[in-house]
Amino acid sequence: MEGKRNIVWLASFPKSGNTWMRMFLHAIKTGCDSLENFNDLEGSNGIASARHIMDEALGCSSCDMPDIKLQRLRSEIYRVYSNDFEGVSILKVHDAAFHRGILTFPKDVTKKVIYIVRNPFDMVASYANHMSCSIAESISSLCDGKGRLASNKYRLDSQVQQYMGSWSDHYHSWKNLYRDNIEIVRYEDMLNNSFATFERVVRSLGWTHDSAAIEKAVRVSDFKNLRALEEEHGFREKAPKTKQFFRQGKTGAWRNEITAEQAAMLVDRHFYTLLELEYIDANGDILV
Amino acid sequence: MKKKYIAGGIVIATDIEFAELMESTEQADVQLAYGPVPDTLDNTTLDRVLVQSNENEVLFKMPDVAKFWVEGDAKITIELLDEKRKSDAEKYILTFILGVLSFKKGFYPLHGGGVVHNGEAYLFTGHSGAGKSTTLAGLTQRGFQPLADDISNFFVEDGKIFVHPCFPRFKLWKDSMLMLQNVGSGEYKLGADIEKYLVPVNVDFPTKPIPVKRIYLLQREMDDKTFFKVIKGKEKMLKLKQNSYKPWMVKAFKLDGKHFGLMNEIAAKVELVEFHRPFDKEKFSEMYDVLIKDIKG
Repeated sequence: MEGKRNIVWLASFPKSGNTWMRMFLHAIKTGCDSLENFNDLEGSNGIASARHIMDEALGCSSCDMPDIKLQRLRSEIYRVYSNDFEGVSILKVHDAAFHRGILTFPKDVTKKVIYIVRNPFDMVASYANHMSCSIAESISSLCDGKGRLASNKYRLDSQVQQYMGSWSDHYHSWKNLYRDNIEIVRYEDMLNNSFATFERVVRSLGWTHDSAAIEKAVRVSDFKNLRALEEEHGFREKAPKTKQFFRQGKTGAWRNEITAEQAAMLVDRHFYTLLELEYIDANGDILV
Repeated sequence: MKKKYIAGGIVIATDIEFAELMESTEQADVQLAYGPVPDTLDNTTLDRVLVQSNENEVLFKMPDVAKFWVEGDAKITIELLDEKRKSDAEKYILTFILGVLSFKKGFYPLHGGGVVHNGEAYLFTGHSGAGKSTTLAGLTQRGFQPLADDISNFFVEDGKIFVHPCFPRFKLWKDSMLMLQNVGSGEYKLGADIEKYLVPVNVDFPTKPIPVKRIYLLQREMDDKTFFKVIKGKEKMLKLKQNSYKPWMVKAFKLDGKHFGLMNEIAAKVELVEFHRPFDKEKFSEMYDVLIKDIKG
């Protein structure tokens, strides 16, 4: 079965601005004046690892088989999903693009990959908060290549297990596989150069919205607005036992959150990726 | 065929031993046996990754385990793909294949289970991971009589809505089993490669259909709030449609009109309430208190 090339993958390591991007795309797609209903967005179709997506495409319950067996079926699952879906589906993804040599997200279903990347120095504290773990454990997850989500095999999660690998592995898995059909977006540029960055995303999708529409969507999905909405209504995607999903959203806050040794560990482990993304210079000095 | 078993109002005749099912003396609806199963079906009305169907047949292939073939509403054939997985293969009769038969026999199969209180059934449904089995097992621990887990077959008789008891086992993940100690004994794995268990129910299990009072639609709240929301009007039909066992079967088996009529009657006569439950296990005791108060009125 061939797919319809109608899925936009919003791929990222967790806590890198994926949800923010999803909110922006919803705002631009619908032209809405507010994201008050941000707990139930119609313009975006959720997360690719959702069990209900698996179940509908399999025809039976994904929870009756082990995750490793399901992993081998993921490509075919997205082909069925792609064929079922009318129009363009925007799906959030935290998995690496492939796992143990098995392709997870096939090219024949893919319209575009928007890859959102955030500097790991700022990300680790946010990730630690999201996963309810220590900063040291969070750094390990980014470095040791064993990063996984929904990996507790003793209980049923509403998502299937997602293999991420290390922060660098994750980035390179998507970049290498989708070299000719990927838009790489830095979180820091979404924050500091919002209009140009989001306009680039809109154009990469072949959308023709004018500047006023893009400006409006940037304003509606502004990080501060999302944080205020979460305070007022709560946010369904917030992890259990955490205070909030949208935290500081700043760049450079890592200087007060992780130690110099921990930052150096990240530089050592991810040197060439950090250099490529201009998060460090050739001397290893951190630029964010 | 040596034995007859009943589950969800369907009587299955087979040589296979099912310790999970209650035996029956009624006339068999379905014959179940091992035999050759085709690799594909002709004239398919539905093609999923592991399932194919046409108007009369369903083919279900579980990789490395077995192929299952349902012909009409009266014959099931299993062909093993690995002889060592015989026990695992037979468990799929209690889940997916029972779901197929439920539709073919004209029931509305709710994806979920229920308990009995004062002679009336209170059902629990919701998406995978919403906590259906855990809620049922917890209520059983607190003195309620269980009547089904996973599939609950509704039907209409004399203008009233009834549900058939299914079979006396809970399907629990290891985490829930450890949390709900003494809910049952003699548990065994649903499959060799997953940490999901069939736990025998250690209280009396009903054998006759029970009139249905209410369906609770479970929703997990990440901020640990507990509250109810009554569903009315058109939304009720939508929720019933979404929460039947594998809703795709309606279209694939061309049951639209009949199924719609049955759902319409259920929507008119059964209460449907969203129950927003906490995520945090430490709040479960409080959650059960709130839920029991609602059931007892």
